[in-house]
Amino acid sequence: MIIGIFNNSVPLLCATVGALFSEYVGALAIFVDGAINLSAFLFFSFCIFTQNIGIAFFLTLLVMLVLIFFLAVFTFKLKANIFLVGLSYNAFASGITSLLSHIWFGTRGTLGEHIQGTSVFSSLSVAFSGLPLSIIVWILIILVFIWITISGRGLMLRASGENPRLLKSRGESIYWYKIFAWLVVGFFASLAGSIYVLRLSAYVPSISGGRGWIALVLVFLGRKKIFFVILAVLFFAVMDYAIGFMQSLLPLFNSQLVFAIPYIVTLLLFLFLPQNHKN
Amino acid sequence: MKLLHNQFLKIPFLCKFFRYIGRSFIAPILAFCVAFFIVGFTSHDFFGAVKHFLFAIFSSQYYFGTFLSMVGLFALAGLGARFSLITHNINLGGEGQIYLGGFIGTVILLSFPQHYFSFFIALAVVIFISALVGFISAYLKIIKNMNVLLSSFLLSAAIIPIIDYAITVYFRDSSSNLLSTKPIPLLFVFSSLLEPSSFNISFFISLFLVIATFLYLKYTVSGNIFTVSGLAPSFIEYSGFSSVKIMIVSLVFSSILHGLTGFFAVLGVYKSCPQGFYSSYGWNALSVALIAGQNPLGIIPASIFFAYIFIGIQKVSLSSGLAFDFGYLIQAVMFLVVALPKTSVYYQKNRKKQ
Repeated sequence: MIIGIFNNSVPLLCATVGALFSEYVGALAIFVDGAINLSAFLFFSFCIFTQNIGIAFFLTLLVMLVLIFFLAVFTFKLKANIFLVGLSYNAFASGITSLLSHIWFGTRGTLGEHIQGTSVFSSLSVAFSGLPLSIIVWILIILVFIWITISGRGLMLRASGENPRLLKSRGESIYWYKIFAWLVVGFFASLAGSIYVLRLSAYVPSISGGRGWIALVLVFLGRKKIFFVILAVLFFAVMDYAIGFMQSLLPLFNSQLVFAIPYIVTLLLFLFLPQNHKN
Repeated sequence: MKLLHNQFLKIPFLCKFFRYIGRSFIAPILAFCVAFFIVGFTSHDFFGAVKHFLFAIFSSQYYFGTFLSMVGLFALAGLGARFSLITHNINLGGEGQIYLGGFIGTVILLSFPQHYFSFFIALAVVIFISALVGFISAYLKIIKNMNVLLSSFLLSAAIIPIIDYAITVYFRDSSSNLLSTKPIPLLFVFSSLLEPSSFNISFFISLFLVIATFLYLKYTVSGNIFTVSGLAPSFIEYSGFSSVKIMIVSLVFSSILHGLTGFFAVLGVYKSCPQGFYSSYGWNALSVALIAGQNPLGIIPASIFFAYIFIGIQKVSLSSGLAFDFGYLIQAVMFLVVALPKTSVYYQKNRKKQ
């Protein structure tokens, strides 16, 4: 059970860490959900085309980072509204996924290997996407948090959102910190999207199931504090696991209602947990 | 060239005109180019697809009527989205609110099918429940400082699967293969004004509401306060008005107008509440509101443009077999252009130099 919860938490943790980084620099990445879905589609497609999971992940990362880099330059150079840019990216992710899926695979529905007739994914890849990959991601995230807490650059990054004047007075450019934070979002979103595909060995439209949006709320639920944010993610992982367990026990537990539960719980948590009003 | 440009920027009228052009026209033009490009290059018959796309609304009475009907619904939902934008809040819950309005209205009309009075009860309940949904977002903003963008989206995302469940399990029309409620009694259905399309009276109600909102915001004191509260909330506070109350009103009205869009859509277009009928309205309404800008009257041309594009897509999809949804790409272009600040950085630099 603990391993199940541990594994469940990883994609949401990736999305939340990305969102937290963007919030640190004062440019909340509304596009996390779209980035996860797009990266999942790209990862699946590259897996089919290259027949190699490693190369596929590398290519996905490359495309996502380049795309987000240009988006960030556009946004911060022209001082565009970050929320509308985020919505634009989400719409772009939905549209381009549908278009490319139609062109490359002739369908915009679920993409699986049984349809494509390839054999990139195996029981080994599914096993790797479980506990081993979860451990790697958790270690990576802990290292990232140590870096942001201890190192000078990490402290600068955190200060860039709350106290940009401090950075300016030290001759630092906030602009590059913001771009870097959005690239971190892109990296973790790619990781989350790839994990979803590896675990399913398939691509399903809206594979994130709205977890990108929940990640944004978890950042505020955790009061932008690393420890509380991780706690919030673990709580959701427990809830996800419990819902899955209930569904297996009670077949009448409607799957459509299950989709509503994470959103309702998030809202209730926000309503009843004490909040720092500055957030 | 640079000198010419600088001289050009010195003419305030032209400057203002081109900045207005930039926001109001570049987005639709770019969106149109995207649609044109995708339609042309993804279908087997380029000229055929482009012809279908461009002249779709004039191809038959059905398409023209459907176009007008869509304009009305986009305008009403767009007005809803505009209301929240006045106070600088983005209501992302449009889809859920539209779905809720349509669903509740249908359920009440199906429960009391024999009296004209049921229509007014349904209308009142739709307004009340929609207002409540808008109020929850406002409440979360006031009490917990939760971003309206997130709270409205989460509420909508929670509402949609619950309604899906209710339709599938409790209200599904067992005599039909569609995932939909039973048909609404003919007594309440908005009859078509242009057979065989779904063009109906809701088109005129929507236009009336848009024009009434424009007149209210432009020519009444409370309307001016409402407008200024979005532009300068501190000024409103110092003048003794409550910006919190104004925010609540804007979000409640935003939600009510979305709910009414859903109610009118089921009465005039679908004649029942099919599962997922909201999907083409919520995000497009936000696009309409953003393109329209500060002036509510801008909602009308923006709705006409969106309806024209989407009817074109519908026609091409049917005739050329394009089985993907590229409405999202059009939205992406719209949002990206509208995201740019009103005054470009380049213009600001030139002002500083001058």
